[in-house]
Amino acid sequence: MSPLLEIEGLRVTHDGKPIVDGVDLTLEPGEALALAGESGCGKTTTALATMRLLPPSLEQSGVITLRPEGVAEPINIGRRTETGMRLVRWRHISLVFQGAMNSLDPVQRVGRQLAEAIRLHERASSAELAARIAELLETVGLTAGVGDRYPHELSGGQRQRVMIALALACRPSLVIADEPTTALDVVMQAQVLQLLERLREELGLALILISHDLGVLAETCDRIAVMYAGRIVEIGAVDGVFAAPQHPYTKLLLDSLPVIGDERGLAAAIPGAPPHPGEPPPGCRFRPRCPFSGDRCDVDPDRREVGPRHEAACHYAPWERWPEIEPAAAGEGGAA
Amino acid sequence: MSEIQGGEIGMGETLMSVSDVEVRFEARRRTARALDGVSLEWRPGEILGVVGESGCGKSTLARAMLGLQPTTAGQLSLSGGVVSSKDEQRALRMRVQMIFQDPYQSLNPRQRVAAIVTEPLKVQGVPKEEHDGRVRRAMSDVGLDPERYLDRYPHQLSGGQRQRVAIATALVLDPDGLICDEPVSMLDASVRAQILKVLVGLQKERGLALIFITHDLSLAWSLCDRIAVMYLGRVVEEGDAADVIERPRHPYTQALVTAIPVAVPGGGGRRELLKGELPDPTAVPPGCRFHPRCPRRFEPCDRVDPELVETGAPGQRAACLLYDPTVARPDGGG
Repeated sequence: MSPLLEIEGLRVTHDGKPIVDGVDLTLEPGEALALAGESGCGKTTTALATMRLLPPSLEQSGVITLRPEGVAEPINIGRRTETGMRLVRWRHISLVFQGAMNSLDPVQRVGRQLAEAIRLHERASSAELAARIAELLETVGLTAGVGDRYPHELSGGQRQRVMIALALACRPSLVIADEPTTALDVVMQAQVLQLLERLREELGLALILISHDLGVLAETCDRIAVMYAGRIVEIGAVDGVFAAPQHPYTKLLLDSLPVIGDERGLAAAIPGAPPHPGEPPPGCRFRPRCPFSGDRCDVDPDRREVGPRHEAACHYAPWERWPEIEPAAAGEGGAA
Repeated sequence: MSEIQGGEIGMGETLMSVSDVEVRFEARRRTARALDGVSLEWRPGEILGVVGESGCGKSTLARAMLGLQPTTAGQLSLSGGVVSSKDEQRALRMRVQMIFQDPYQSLNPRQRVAAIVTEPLKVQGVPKEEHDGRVRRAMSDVGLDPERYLDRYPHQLSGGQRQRVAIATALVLDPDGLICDEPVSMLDASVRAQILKVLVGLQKERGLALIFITHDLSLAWSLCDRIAVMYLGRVVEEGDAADVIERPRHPYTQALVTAIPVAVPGGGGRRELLKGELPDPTAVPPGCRFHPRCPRRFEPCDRVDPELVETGAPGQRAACLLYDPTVARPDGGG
């Protein structure tokens, strides 16, 4: 089976300086891929580039190929005209972005906004439209009555569900969700994540989920890609990466999370701050912050296979055992 | 909510105590019960976690504790003495400080760091000759080199550095307590751990008492001594942090803990999630305020409003009829 989405050598630059610096990834139909990393590492830029929604000040290069089911020719996203992209966006790939729940039109009823999204891509009689809207709302766990309401009459969680319904309106094969639950609390967050999981099962939807919350990603995704300073530094099955991370950055990110049931106390901090992807340090980008670095780190490492379907950009991977580090080494100075 | 009497809980000292505090907001001729009889003790040098969903009243509680939010009932005490007069409120604000979630909005963009950190000293009338020394010490305490940072403007700082400046501003008056309203929820993993290290370091080295107001239960579990869980304007469970999160007693706390995303693959599994949302505080349900969403509700829950009662574990109390010895439980067990 050929992948649904293939990104090869994606670069995004601003005034010649890279923000995303060579991202390669593939996504199978129905697969859920997690995109992890700290702010500024290029997660959102990668997502927007995939939709060709970057602002004009940014330039993107590289090849992005989409092969939706039932479409004979693969879609070359990089080479489509803007008009051509309009036929792809929302129809084949759609986006639920951070704080999206505040981007609903405040003066239009929810049902009307859904109707517009459906009508963009297909003709439907008003009876068909009404049925589709009711069905969409039901799919995301809302009652049909919500269609008659205005956004301000809904809670944050309900609005986020409406945004997901909008993203699903044209039955896309891929949904990119950028921090879809960040503004919600635990209970609401768990409800929305459970909804995304159910939609994947029922609709065979592929999902790229972007979050800084590794817990959210672990629960929802099959594979995870960890980004650092504009690149993917580790990618593999969620189980494998969480059980045995192979890039020091992933390892330290996981260590910085409290896990209920383990030992309580202050989690280890990663010293320093990430570099701007346009001004990376020489050699390995993570070297200045890496407690495990050695002589080989003078050379910028390529991402390579370090286990079954598991890749990492670290000279010393696969790590048999992580060396003990002094916890005191972390978090000094005012670099944060 | 009358069973909490001044000296009853723990004979030890308290830094601050809150008894039966109420805050009402008037909205379109309806009254929102933002705080509906909250009682809480905060001990010297203690890290107390206040957790709950947004809208449960945790931030309102923080504001009320500092006298920034008018209360309609109840009282605040500082080291055992009731806070009521203007002078007492002023003393309270010297000894207890607060930092907020968004370090981007809480610093004046037109002032240099030096002026921002000095401001509280001016407001509280601290003699001028002490300013420089205290400002430099506060900066060093949060891990910012005064030489490098005092002349900068907020926009020249990263998010983590801004939060450090906010903490320095709170520390400069040498308070006994610091209330932190979601102090790290907007920060990335590495910065987050660094800020937490600063806060916990202050607690260890200076004996600074902390309140963490957060919706992040794992964070509260990992760092707090005690946790109070709020629901719809009231504390529904409190106790030792490990007990409350690892062995929650109130069905609401149990539901919250179930919803925590676990950074272990498949760790969450299929689980029973709480249905619905936090009710509108203008329409607090009768009886137990949690009963419409509660998976374990039984006969009297829709008419009897439960008080905090002991649940068996020392100091762990829950406002739930399952633990009330005077109410017959449906299954005869807990």
